Amino acid sequence: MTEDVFDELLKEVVEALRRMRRMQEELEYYFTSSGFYANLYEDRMKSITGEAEEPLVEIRDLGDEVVILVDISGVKQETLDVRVGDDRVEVYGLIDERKYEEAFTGWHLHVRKREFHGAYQLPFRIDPESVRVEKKGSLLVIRAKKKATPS
Amino acid sequence: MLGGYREELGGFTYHLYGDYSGIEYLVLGLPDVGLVGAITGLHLIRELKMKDVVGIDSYTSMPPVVVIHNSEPMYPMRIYRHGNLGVLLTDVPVAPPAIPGLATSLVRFAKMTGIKMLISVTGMGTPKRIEVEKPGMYALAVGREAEIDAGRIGASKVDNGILVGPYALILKEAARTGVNNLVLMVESFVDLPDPEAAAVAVEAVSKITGVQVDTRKLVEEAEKLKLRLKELMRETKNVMAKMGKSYEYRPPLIYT
Repeated sequence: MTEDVFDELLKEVVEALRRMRRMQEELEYYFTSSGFYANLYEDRMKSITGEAEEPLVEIRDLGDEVVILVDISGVKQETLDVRVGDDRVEVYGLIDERKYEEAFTGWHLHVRKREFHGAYQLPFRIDPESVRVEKKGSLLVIRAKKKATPS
Repeated sequence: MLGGYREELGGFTYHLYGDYSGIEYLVLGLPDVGLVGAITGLHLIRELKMKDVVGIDSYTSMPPVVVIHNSEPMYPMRIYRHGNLGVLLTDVPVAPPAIPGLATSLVRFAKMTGIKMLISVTGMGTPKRIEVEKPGMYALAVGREAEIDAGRIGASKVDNGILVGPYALILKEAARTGVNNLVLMVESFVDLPDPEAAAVAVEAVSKITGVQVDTRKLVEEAEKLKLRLKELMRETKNVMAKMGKSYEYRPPLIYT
């Protein structure tokens, strides 16, 4: 009877160790094979090599209309330039150094980028004539009607 | 700070270097949709001048990271405390393979230390968020006290849906072990930090815990906050894609 109890306990311990090992292997795979660290390193190096900063963006497909939200925090708004093509949107601007100095200190302040540039390929064609751009706080809201597909 | 007495829970090491006893409500501010939870946690810590009391780390489940604040090295994930209110904050998004271990360990920590309620804060991606002045809030609760509080703060109920990520596992573990867990979901942007949505969550936490926190600064300094959180949002977006966050945007099979 006592041996059965110990056997069961030993089985549970071995199973727990196997689960931990599987989790370790999954984590190792996640961090190495997916390029997680390599991509992060490249992105961070762009700060030092002085390439443009890519803004955060959210694209919302609302059926007949698309809304593109661009986070323009830290950009000199008078330098914003929005260019819209049939299936592409580009946003340019210059970094507002004063805003960065208020937000960051030390090392992070010195490695910021100078330009702000985002280029977004859309999965559908839009009517450039229908584009409307407005600013809401530190968000740039770009609205466009989708081009009707020929029947 | 580093060091302290160590408790091993679910593959994570809890470094107990401060006075964590007396925490009744623990707000979980994990990076998620719109960084709503992270911003909520950050604002509570700053406004209440909370002190870090517990460091959480794992050499196998988290990247090898030390966070430096005011020249002091700190663990990547920390619990802060002010009176009966605690806040969990992390500088590193939780990798999907580490989620089960972290969820289990957090609920075990709550049970072990007598925490009355875990309050998980997250965003709920809304296509028309840009049209909304004040985002709405939804709540999901397990445990009698959590259900009562969900009603008290006037949050709408989630009738049907799918929750994905660490909060889903924490909810299941809380139900299994008898810990109260309230999940607050505020309408928000998905891939953009949303301080206005976090302000709604902070107001709800104030009502539940009785600890009053002013949210004006959150809205006034939104741009500065978004600048600082830009890189964390990018990392979180990457992690959300890998954990299957898109499941949240389709209806479940059984629909009332």
